Amino acid sequence: MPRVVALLVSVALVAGAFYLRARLDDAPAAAREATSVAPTERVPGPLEEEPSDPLLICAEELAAACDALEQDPDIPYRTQVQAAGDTVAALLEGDRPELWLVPAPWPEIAQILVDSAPPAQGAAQPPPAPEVSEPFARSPLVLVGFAERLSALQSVCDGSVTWSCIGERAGTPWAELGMREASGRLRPGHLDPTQSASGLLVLASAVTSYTGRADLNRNDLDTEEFADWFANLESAVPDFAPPSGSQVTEMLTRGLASYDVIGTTQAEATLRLDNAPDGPLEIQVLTPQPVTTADVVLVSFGAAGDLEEAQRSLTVPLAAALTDSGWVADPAGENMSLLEDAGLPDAGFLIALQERWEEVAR
Amino acid sequence: MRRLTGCLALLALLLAGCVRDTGVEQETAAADTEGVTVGGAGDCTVVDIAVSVEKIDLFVDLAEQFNASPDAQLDGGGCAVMEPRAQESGRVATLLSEGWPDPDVNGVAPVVWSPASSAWSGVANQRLADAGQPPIAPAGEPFMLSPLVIGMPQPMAEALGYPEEPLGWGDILTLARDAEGWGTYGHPEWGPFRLAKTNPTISTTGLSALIAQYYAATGKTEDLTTEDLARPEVDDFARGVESAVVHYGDTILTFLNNLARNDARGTALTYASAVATAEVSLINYNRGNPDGVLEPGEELVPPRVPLVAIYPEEGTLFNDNPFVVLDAEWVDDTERAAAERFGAFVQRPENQQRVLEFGYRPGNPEVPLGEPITAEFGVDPTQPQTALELPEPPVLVDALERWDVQRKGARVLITMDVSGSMGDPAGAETRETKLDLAKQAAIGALDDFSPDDEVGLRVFSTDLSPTEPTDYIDLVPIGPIAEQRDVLAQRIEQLVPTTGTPLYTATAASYSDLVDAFDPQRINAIILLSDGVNDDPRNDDLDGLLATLTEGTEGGTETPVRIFPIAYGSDADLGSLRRIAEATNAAVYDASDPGSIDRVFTAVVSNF
Repeated sequence: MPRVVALLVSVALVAGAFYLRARLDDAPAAAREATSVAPTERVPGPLEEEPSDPLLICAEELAAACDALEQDPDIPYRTQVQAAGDTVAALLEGDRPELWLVPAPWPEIAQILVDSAPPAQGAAQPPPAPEVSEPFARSPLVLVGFAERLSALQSVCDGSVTWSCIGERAGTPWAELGMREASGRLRPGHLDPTQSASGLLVLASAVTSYTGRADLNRNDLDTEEFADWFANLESAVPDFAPPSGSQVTEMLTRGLASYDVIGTTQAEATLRLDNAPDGPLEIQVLTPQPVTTADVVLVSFGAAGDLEEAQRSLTVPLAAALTDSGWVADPAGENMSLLEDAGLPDAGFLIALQERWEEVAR
Repeated sequence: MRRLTGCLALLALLLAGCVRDTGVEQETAAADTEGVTVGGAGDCTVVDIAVSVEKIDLFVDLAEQFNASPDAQLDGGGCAVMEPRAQESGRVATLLSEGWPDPDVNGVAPVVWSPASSAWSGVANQRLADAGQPPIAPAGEPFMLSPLVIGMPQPMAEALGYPEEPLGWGDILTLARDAEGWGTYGHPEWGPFRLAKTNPTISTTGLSALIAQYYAATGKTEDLTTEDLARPEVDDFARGVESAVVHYGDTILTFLNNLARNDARGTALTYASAVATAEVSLINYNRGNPDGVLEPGEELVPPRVPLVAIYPEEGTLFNDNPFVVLDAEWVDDTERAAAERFGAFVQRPENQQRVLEFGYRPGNPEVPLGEPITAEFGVDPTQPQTALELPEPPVLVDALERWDVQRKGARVLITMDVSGSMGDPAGAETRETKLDLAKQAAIGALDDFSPDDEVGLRVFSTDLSPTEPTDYIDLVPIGPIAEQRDVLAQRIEQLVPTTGTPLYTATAASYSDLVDAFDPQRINAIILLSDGVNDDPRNDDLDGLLATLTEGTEGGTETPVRIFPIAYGSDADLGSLRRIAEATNAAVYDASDPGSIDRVFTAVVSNF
C-alpha cells in the first residue's frame, strides 16, 4: 500500500513538473507582475546604492561571483547571498525576489513546492511562474579528499573511488581499510541537501553512482538494498554544519579531524585549494564517473521580458565573475555544450530524496 | 545542582586575572577588567573586545597593528580603536546572559567577544533562551584553532605505546582504575596515575575535556544527548576518570607552572601523569613558557622532560576562538562596522601568520600549518583524526550539572587568620573590617562546595586558647558539608580579631593533621587565609616549614595535601605564601584588594 501511495505521489510530481514547464513556457505576461521582497538577511552593498535597486539572490555556492558583482558600480542590482533552502522557504512564504542565481534544478524544485503548497492567506491566485534561463555556467561534481586516504580507498574500491563504494565503506575503521596506523572511521561529507544547492546535487550524484543511472523515481528509494546503503552512508556523514560554511575549508584548517572525503563542485574545490599553500596533508580532487554537473541558471520572478533584460546586463559580467571563481561559463553557448544533461535525476526525484534524507539523517 | 548554580553565578565574579596568571600566583580582577588601550583612543570609536585570557597577548599585538593601520579609518570619516581585555570566557557568558550588570565592577560591556570556544556562545544564548530572551552571540567566524589534547610527559606516553599506539580517554580510565598505577607499566617509581584537569564550569579546557570524556564513554562522535549522560556506564566512566584528578582549578596554567617547577627539580613525573590542555598551551610549555606570557627579561628554558600531545583516539574538540560581534543593545552601528573591519583584519594571511607564531592553528586556510605545530614541540600537525561535535546547549548544561556530582570529592580545612590586623578597615571608604569581608566571602563560598565534600574550620592567632595547642582552634571539625554548612556559617559569622599571626605554626599543624587523616578518595587541601606576616617569635622557621611541605609532596607521595593560600590585604606576606603554595604544588591567590576577597574565595574553591 505505501508503494502505491508513493507511486501516485511520484506520478503527481512528474505531472506537476510538466505543468510547471508548460507554465514556464506559456504563462501570460500579465500574471508575472513583479513584487517586492523584503530581504531576510544582511544585504551587503555600497551605501550610495538606491534601495529601489532590484535584488539578486545568489545561492551560497555562487557567493564569490556575486561578491564580484557587488563591487561593480555598473551592475544595477543589489545582491544577497542565501542558502538555496532558505530561498525556497521564502518563496513558500510568498516572498518574491527579482532574480535568483542558483544551480538547476532548484528553480524547478521551488516551483513544485510552491505549486503544491496551500495558497498563501489572502492570495487571490497562485504566484506567477518564474522564467528560467538556460544553463550558462557549469562545474563538475567532484570528490575532495586526503590523498593518502583516497589511495587507501582506491585499493578497496576496485581501483576507483566512487560514491557507491564510499557509501558501502562509510563508517568503517581505517584500520580495516588498509591504514593500520590511522584512527577513526571513514567519514564522508556533503552539505545539508535541504539547504545547500550543491549539497543536494552531490547527494543526487551519490545516489546515481549507487544505482548506476539517472532516470530515477521515488520507488528507487524504497528498495531494501538502497535503504541499507543510504543509511550506512548517512550514519557516517557528520550532521553538523561546517563552522566556516565550507567543508573544503574545514579540511584545510582542521585536517583529518574534519572529513576524509567530501563532495562538492569543482569550482569550490578550485577556489579553496588554489589559495591554500601546501600543508602537512596532501589534498586531492577526483572526478568520479559518470560525470555529473552543477549547472547555473538565472531565474526571474518579474514580468515577462525581465529575464531577457537581466541577461543583457548581467550575463557577461556574471560569466566573467563565475569564471574567476572556478566555474566554466559560456554565456553565448559557443564553446561548450551546456545543453547536455547534467547527469542527475529530475526535480521530482530530488524532492523525494530530500524527504528520504530527512527521515534517515535526522 | 546548588553548587553548579553557585559556580556559574560566581563565575561571573571571577577575576579575569585568575587566568592571566604569570606564575602560580592568581592575580586579581581589578587590573584585568581594564582594557588595553593600544595607541590611544582620542576621538576614535572605541571597540571593547572581551578576549579569553590565554590569547590576550596575541590580541593586543593585533590590535596595535590594526589601530596604527589605514584599516582603522572608518568609511565616512572617523577612526576606530580596538581595546581588548582579558576576560574568562565562562565569566563573560554569565555576564552576557545577565545583561552585563554593574559595569563599574565588571568592566565595560563588550562589542566583540572572542571566547576560547563557541561552546560559551551556546551557553550564553541558552541561558537567555531559558529566560525568554533572544540570543546575543551569533555564530562567529573561527579566528584560530587549538585542539584539546592530553599532554603527557614523554616517558609516560612511551610507556603506554606512544607514538605507535593510538591512545585516548579509555586508556586514562584504565590507568585511573589500576591500583598498581604506573607499576603495571614497569614504573612503580612514578606512583599512581594523576590527572590534571580544570573546573569545567569556568575553564574552557575543562569543559572540552568533560565533553570528550562523555563522548568517549558513549562511543559516539556526535549527537550526544542527555539520555546518553544518564546511562549508568557513562556515569561510571566519568567517575572513574575524575577519580584520578589531582585537583581542579580555574586555569590549566596552574598545573603547567607547577609541572615546570617540578621539572626543574627532576620530579615532573611524580607531579602529574597527564594534563588535559589546549594544544597551544602544551607548545608553550615545551618552549619553556608554561604560562604563555613572556615577561620582559624572562628567559625561555625548555623542560627537561617535554610533554607530548596525545590526540584522543575517540576524538577531540577544537577551541575555535570565534570572533563574535554581539547582537546587544549597547552595540551601535558605528561600533559594529568598526568591529567587522577588525574581524576581517585578523583573518588576513599576514595576521594569521602571527596566530601561528603564537602556537595556534590559523583559521584562514591560506596560511598552512608550520612551526611551531611540529613534532619538535610535542605536537602532530596531521592530528587529530576525529573531531567531536559540540553538544547542544541543553546537553552542555546537563553535563556540567552531572560533573558536579561525579567529580572527585574534596576534604578541605579552611584555616583563617583572626589576628588583630584583621580588624583593620577594609578600605578608606568603608567601615567594614577586613575580617567582615572575609567572613562574608567564606560564608558565600560554602555554597560552592559539593554536598559530598567534607569541610572544616580552623582559626589561628597567638594565644587563642589557654590550652595546647594555644595558637589555633578547630571551631568545626572536618565533616560532611551537607550536614554542617549552617554550623560552619554560624561559626564564621562569630569570628572576631584577636592578637598575633602564628602563620608557620598554624600552617604546619594544619598540614600535618590533614596528612595524618588523609583520604585517598578525595582532594585533600587547605585554604589558608592570612592578612599578615608571621610574627610569632617562637616559630619563624619558614625554611623548615617549606622543607616539611616539600618532603611531603615530592617523590610520588601517597598523601599529597595541597595548600591554597589567600594573601589577603596589602600587608599579607605574598612571597612566603607563594612559596608555601609551590611547596605543595598548589597555587597562591592574591586578594591584596580586600574588596576582591569574595571573588578570590570563589576562585580558590574552584580547585575542588
